[in-house]
Amino acid sequence: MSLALPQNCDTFAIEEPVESGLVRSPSSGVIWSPPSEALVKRKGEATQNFTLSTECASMHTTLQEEPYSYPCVVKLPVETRPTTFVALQSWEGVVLKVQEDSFWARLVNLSEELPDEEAELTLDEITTDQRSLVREGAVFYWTIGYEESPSRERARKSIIRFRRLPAWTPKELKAAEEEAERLRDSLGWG
Amino acid sequence: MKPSLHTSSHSIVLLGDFNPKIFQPAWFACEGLVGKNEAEAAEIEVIHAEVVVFAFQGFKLQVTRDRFIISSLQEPYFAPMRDLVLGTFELLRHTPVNRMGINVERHYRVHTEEEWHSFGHKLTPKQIWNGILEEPGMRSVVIQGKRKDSYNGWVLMRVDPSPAVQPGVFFQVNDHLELDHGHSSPELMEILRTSWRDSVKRSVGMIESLVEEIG
Repeated sequence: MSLALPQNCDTFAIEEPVESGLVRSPSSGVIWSPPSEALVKRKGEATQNFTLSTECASMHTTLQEEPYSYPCVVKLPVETRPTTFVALQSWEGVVLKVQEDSFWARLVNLSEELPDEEAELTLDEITTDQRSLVREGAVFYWTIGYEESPSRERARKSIIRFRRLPAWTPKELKAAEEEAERLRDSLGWG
Repeated sequence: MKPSLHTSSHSIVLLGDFNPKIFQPAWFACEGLVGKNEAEAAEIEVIHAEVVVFAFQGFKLQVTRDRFIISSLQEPYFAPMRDLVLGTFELLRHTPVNRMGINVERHYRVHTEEEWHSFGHKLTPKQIWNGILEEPGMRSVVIQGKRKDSYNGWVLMRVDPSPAVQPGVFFQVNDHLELDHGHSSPELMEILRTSWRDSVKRSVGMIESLVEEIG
């Protein structure tokens, strides 16, 4: 059965045997690995019993002859309330024409049953990472709505994301051309 | 007064046979599936042979040996998230993937406690519980239905009191598909490519039908 995500999207937790080298507390976010004998060696110190507990596992270990070594504890920040976004309007667009500092696009309204529209958008609306994706025929998603930050600040935002899919390899292009020719010949369109 | 939408989230879950180490931000950037700046800004929680967990802006990825989960709490990233899955498994087309869940979750704020309780009673009438439990209250309801298309699987709906907003209700739809012959990543990806938008729209419709029953 596929796993539907738990409600808060942050309950993914692994509980592995200590021997595997990694244990994570699901609630505190602490990741630690078991004590390593090579980590700390202080000669002449008495051995001692040591108990380390997390919310999901407790461990009691004693080094018989060598003094204790400290576990490596990497405390990850506990995830705070995430950023959320509620959309008011969204469109799927196709770039029709690119100009010096803007582009024209055909927009399909995804929020309401309305006719397609054409609109001019400025390149300033596009992140620098995505500028190279703005070309004729490129598909993008445009959403306007309210973003709520972890501190519960609300801001109206317009977000444009271009579709990124792997580029066709020369081999795939050649195979597609050959298949098209074969279909054309079989239909007698040659 | 009609309940108001508080948050909306979406996830795509794949079950199969994965190598978590592959799925690192740098790999996605190298393959052009995310931008370079985006990959560099990724928040990494765990990169390990058995598990990878990190977040790009807008969505989070968790991969273990048998599960690939991508999720987002921000609607502008739902479709790009789907594209990321398609792009990833186009490149890794030989990865065995045999089950997929397209999941929608929503939290709604209910305006009065009376309406909230009334909805709970509607979903789970309490008469049968009186005398068995003291002050019975609904914690969770899960209902499974058959798929209306020809694919194997089911549609699961879950309704809980919302932990995110009080008084509130949480709805979750798990649109689950599985293949009945071997493992075929390209086949599931084709279903994802052609059916994703309808699946999400249908799930939202199902949730909204239940929301209409509140108040």
